[in-house]
Amino acid sequence: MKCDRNLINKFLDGEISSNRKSRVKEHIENCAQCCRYYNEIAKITSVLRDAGKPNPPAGVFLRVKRNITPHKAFLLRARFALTAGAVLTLFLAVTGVFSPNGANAELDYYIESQLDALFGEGLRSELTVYEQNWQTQIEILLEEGEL
Amino acid sequence: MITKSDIKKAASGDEAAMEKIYQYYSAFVWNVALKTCLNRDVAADALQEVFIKVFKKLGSFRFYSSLKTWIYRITVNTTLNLIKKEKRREGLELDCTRLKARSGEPDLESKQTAQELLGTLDPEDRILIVMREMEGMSYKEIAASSKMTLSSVKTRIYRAREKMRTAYDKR
Repeated sequence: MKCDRNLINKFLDGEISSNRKSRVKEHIENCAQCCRYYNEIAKITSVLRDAGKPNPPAGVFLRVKRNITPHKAFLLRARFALTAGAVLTLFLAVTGVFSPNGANAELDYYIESQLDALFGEGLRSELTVYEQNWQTQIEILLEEGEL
Repeated sequence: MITKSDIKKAASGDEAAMEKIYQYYSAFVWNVALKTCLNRDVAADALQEVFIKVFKKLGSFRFYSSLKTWIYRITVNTTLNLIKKEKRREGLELDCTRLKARSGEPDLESKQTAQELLGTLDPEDRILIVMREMEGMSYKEIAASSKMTLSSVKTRIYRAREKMRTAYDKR
């Protein structure tokens, strides 16, 4: 049998078949070079194993928690904003301030023209997009049973 | 033992479940981070960063691998990235004195020798040796955690042992 360091490593790791094991063992015992190599690697692995496992420092979990809490707080705020948006939309629909069928067309026109005069037309179209997005989000949350 | 229900609870923000997962895996993460970084401060950053990632991403954990392998993989990536980011390799490897000063156990010499031997390796090889020799992980587990093939894990570990042996001879 030839000297084979990979085989010695496998032998050390116990990753060798039992019939081959005795041949490798016999070689190590009779080859001065391989015997030295085996003992040195075995010594190193035992030094590393005996170095022990230190305990993690205290207080890290609290820091981790603090770091992920803003994420949770943001989700709660977002959920609150969506709920408030839903309530507001429902209120406006029930009171008929915004009427899809045009029953209060004059009032709608008056509110829209006042908003345009105050903030420009761009804002109103943005608000419409936000309202649509809210409605989509609300539907998703309702479907998932979150609301 | 961490159950599927613990994972789901922690993913939804249950602090008791999160703490259970932390208590279960923090010793492993700390040991790997400390012995790979060879610097307490960087290792503490790694420990914190690993668990922040774990809890933030737990919602997207799909149980394709075990939680253990998933956390091990995050540990390997975070620790090695942190070492690269810090760009303090020389400083890291010279910090063994500080580790020594903090230990009061009788096997201090063995600890010191282990630090010296680990210090002769690159962080990429060091983390493999820590997982194999100090954490007793199988080659398969190491391959899954480091996203390497089984044969390259073995080859790198054998080479790292050889490198440490040469350093040990010169002592």
